Amino acid sequence: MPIASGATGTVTAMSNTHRQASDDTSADDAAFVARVEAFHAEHCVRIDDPAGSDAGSDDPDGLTAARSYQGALTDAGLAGLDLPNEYGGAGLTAHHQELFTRAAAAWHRPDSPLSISHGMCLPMLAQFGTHEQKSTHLPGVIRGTSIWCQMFSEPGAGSDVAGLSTRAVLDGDEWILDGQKVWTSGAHYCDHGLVVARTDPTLPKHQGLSMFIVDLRSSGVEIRPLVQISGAKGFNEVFFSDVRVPAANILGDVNQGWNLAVSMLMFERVSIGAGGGALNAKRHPELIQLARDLGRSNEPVIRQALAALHISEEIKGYIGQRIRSAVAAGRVPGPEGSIAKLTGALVARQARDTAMAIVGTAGQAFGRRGDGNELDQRATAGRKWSGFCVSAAGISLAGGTDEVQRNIIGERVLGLPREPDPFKGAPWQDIPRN
Amino acid sequence: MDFTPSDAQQAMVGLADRIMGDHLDMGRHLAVETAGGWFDRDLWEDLASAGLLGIALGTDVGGSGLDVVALALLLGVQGSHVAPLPLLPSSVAAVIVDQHGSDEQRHRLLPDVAAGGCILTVAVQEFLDDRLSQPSVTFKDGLLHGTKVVVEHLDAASLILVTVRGPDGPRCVLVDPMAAGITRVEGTSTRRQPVWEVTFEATPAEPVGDDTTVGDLLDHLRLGISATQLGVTERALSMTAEYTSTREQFGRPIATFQAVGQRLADQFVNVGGIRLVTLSAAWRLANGADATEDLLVSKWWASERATDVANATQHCHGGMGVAVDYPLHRYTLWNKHLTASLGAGTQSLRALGDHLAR
Repeated sequence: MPIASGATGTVTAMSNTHRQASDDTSADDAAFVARVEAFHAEHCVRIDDPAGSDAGSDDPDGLTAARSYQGALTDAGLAGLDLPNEYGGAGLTAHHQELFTRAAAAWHRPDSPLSISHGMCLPMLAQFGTHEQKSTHLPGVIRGTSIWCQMFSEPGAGSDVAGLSTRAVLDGDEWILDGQKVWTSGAHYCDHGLVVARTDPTLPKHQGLSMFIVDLRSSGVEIRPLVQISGAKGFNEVFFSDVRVPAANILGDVNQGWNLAVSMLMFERVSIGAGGGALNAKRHPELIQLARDLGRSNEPVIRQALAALHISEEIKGYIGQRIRSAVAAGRVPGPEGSIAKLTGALVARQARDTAMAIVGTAGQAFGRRGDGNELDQRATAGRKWSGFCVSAAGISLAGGTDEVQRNIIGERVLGLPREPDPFKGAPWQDIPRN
Repeated sequence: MDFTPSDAQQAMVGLADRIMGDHLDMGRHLAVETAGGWFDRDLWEDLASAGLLGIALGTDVGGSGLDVVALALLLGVQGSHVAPLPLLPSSVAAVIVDQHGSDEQRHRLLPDVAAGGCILTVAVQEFLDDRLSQPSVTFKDGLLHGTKVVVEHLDAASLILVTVRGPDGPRCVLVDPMAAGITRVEGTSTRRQPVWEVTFEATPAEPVGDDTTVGDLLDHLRLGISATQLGVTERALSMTAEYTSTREQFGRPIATFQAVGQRLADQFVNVGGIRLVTLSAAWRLANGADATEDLLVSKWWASERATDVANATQHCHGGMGVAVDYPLHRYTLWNKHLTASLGAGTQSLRALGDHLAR
């Protein structure tokens, strides 16, 4: 009994401390959230406003809207929240970032073209960049005047990304880059890429890699867009032929690229599974409205699917919140990023199936040259969710497939034995590849 | 029934597969599309010359006199090549005219259908209306009023077979797409082919058949959709088996990872289910047995399980499944389109529930 009593006392004391701490900060927090709300009220439409999600056809990548939003956000002191002023940041904390993410989730923000630049490249630069690199690049990346992309995947290196073959050879004070990347999101509008290349083929595959900051306007860089099943052209093949990269553009140390790549993949998984962008917007409110608009909200099958989706999205939201809280407390995201990413992919598929059940026949229509009448509105809903339907599969691939995430969860969260690797420790150049 | 195709059916499948396989490759698909079209007319004429366009029509009207099992197998071949042809609606509408039309209608229309000159399409869907057998487009005093959606192949069709509500209940009528009072709005389907919303205002039409014709048309369309999806899923799965057996990561083919191999094994079971229930439904239709239950089961199976197959085959292709430079995406898009045709799994289950619990 004394133990229980003591335990209760401790809990009470902790609650008081916690309440006191939040009293001290809550006024500041509320003022900050009010600023975020006011900014978005001026620049964006709310997430439940169906008018908000259509990008203009003359701006296929949505760059103009993204740059304009990000520029205004920077001017308002609301961009790069946890980065120092000297690098163009707002000089606040990760806690503010979390407050921002939660408050801004209620709005359609046109910043998805910047999601990789901000969700993955920017934290890498902030964490691993030299003072020189940060001074040169961070202000532009924060403002969105410089957009960056991730360049890992190659034709022969997908799930086995550490087996990649793009070569970087040192020549005086420059590295010479040769090889090919693929599935590079946004390369066609990006200014720089973070490229992983092989700097020592005689080392085991994870040990001979380095990461470079590559100016995509350099001579010898060729970018070819890939058309996707959804009709979008978000991906590219990128060819490097004798591209000269200044030695100062290495991020981290030579042959330490795999550690950086793992960190970046964690940022990617957190960004995909727990980020605040459109990818992680809760879809059930829109789908409930859609079911109402289409006269399907009384159908038991549809209602159960919506309720199940609501539950999944709540849980997914908590997973994301837990990870962001850990980041806000200064911890680097670990394998729990894989849980978020896997959950994100599964819930996206659940949303896809729910959406298709609601739109029904209208899901066959991908586009229509109409006049805005009632049928046209239904066809527009069908087109929107058809597009989501054919895009949802990609979420299970990007940033490591569902299978890769499950392997990581098995090995690094559950502590199961690793899959035997017959080439463990062998020099990369001695491993057979096709 | 015996699920083994007869010699005549096997010969027909071999012929159709050879014609489509010889003719269609990635370049041919792109050539048709970049020319701004969706329809491979050269291939259509080849099929007509080979006698495949009248496969299930009577020999007295220029057909080959085989049954709808043969038609289902032919549609499977089309699905396996994702061949851009109006084969499904044209063949099904022709079978309905053959079985329900007057002698005059049969001899006026069907020889030209078998020869490839006359293409038929169907207009049966209405927006978000699951009650396909109770159409809301009206037919009175020889004139049509109302709207149909997702009408395919309208630019190639000589006639549309439309489901309507007449004074005595549901009926089928034939309409000339150029007739008076027709408004058409073009859109694009998920398989990137044009589809039309067609509105009739006092449009003249010609009745076909009696009060059993609408039900028979819907039954044959359901069969045609499932049969096409059988071909689509079978080929998508074989492409995936080949891809995962040759694509190497971590120094071995990715098919040797259990997560990949077992997921594909599940898809083999799914495709096998589509095959059996589709052929069973075809056999029942061909032999005058009640096929309603089998058809609803096959449509559900083809909708739900084909979606599983499409998701798995696309996933196991990684990025290649997403890129339009690789053929797999066509199979996924066809699957999605066919799955939603005449209502997806939920509608089939609801109709099956009504049928079982009546």
